[in-house]
Amino acid sequence: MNGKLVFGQYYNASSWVHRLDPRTKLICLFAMMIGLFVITNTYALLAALGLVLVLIISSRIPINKFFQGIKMMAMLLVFTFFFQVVFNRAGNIVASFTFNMTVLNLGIVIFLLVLFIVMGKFVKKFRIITFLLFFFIAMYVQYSLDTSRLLFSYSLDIYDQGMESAFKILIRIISLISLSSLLTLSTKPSDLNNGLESVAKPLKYLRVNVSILSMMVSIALRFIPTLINEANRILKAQASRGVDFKEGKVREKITQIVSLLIPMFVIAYKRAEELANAMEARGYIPGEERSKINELKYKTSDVLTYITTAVILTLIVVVKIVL
Amino acid sequence: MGIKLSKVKFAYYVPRSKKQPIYYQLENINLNIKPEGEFIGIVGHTGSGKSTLVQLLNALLLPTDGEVNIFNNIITRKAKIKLKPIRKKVGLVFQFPEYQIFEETVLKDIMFGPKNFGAEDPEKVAREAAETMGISDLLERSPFTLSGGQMRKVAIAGILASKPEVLIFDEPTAGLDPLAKSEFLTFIQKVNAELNKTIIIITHDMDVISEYTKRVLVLKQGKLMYDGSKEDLFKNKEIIEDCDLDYPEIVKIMRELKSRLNIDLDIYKYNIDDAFREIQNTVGVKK
Repeated sequence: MNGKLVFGQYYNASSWVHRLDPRTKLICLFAMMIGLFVITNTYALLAALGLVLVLIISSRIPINKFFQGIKMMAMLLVFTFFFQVVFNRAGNIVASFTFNMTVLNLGIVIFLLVLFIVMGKFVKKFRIITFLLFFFIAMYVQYSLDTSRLLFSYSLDIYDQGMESAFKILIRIISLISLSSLLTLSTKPSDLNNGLESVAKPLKYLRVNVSILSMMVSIALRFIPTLINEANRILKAQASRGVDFKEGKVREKITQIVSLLIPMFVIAYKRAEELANAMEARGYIPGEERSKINELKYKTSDVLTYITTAVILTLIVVVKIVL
Repeated sequence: MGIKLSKVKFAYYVPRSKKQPIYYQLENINLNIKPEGEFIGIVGHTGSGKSTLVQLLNALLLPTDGEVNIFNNIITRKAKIKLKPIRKKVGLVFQFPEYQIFEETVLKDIMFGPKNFGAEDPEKVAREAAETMGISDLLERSPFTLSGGQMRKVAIAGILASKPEVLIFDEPTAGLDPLAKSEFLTFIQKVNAELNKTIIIITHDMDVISEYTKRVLVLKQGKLMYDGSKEDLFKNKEIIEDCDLDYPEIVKIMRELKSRLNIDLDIYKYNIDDAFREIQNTVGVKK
């Protein structure tokens, strides 16, 4: 049950990406993200996507792990693409469609809408795909049928620059998601946390206590599965007291959620207190200098990665400024 | 009527592709539980599937394969039926039930179950349940100011108030002191005897099994190894050894006495009084 909940969970494999120092990965990832936003040329973006692909393949992580991350953003991707195509009105018109809404068409569209809602009750999977299917059927009907009385008509114009910018945004988002998935898939949470702490060290000059912050982050990460388990237990305990989380009216649902939330708060506070006592009993003093079991050390591969990233980023920036 | 499990298999995770093997938490369970008067103990090692089995009896989990019949509601993997009426009939008290408490006052919390199940007068049944648990004086207090033992009583009253026909307890005595433990078990025994309700109790404690239960289910790695009376279980050496079970303290003492004193004792006695009488009879105490 918990396995499918978190995407981008650490995937154990042996590759140079896994062996890199977490600090290197963090900083280079950040640099690459900046690069992705600086690039405006479509071909350069495609090349960047190619580079990301090379990184993914060389990390020896199965590619469907990355698709999981992209799938979660699928809705966002589809909508940004769609809005860019429809509303970006720069450049030349590539295609123009005129839609006629007639009495007959209106009936068909409403029928399709009702059919979709009714279908949604029975078919739980493929909701996005069925929605798109119905949407296109509705559009097609409006485009091709105009036999009865016209109510109003509107047109959809697609411009070449709109298409291009939609395409660019698509590539950018996919590259960004893949890169950040690559980071979390190839780095253990504890290493990632160590890396973050070390990268964020300069913040102490701004009076930010980095070690405490990173401890908080790692504890929060550590307790996610524990709290999910507890929540499941409470859900079941309340279910045997007649709570039905799936059905019921809205007003009932609120009390039902309260019956989950309050015990969860109680448990979380209790756990926090126990943990704090256990940590203090083992000599943890907040803000004090702590020694580490795994000291982070840069290797040759790290240096090479830094150099490559720096070269690529400077190239991008220089090209951008010159052109 | 009652609860009937036929060829029930259960897996927590069923892989999508059929090539991957399914790891079953429970395998081929056949079981018949009468709706009244039974007092069943479930024993087995950690991970043997006790809690899973108990959740199947209350339709919190649905069987992966096979069929569970709870008061003539047939539950299979795909059957779509209302589960709420089933949960009203079979009350399940989880381990550490005090965590399920959430209302402002004890009374409100006990009323929560009956209200959900649509009882006519939730307050009345809640007060009754509180009285059976002996917590009538706490009704207006906030449950979060109570001690652990009191909270547990409140939580159990919350289940009792829904008036289930079968009551299931998942390790109800964990973390209780010996006095509270025997008090609690005697209370359950009373419910079993006087209200004629079926009680099912998960426990690790063989003394609880020997002193209170009538029928025992032994689970090992998801399989039902034994289903029968406790008397037969303790005489069945193979099952006890195979499932790594312990003998109850009384039986151990009686056996030790028998072998050391070399006398003809009936070692299978299940409470202190009986054992004492047996010793008295055999040794012959002079007064």
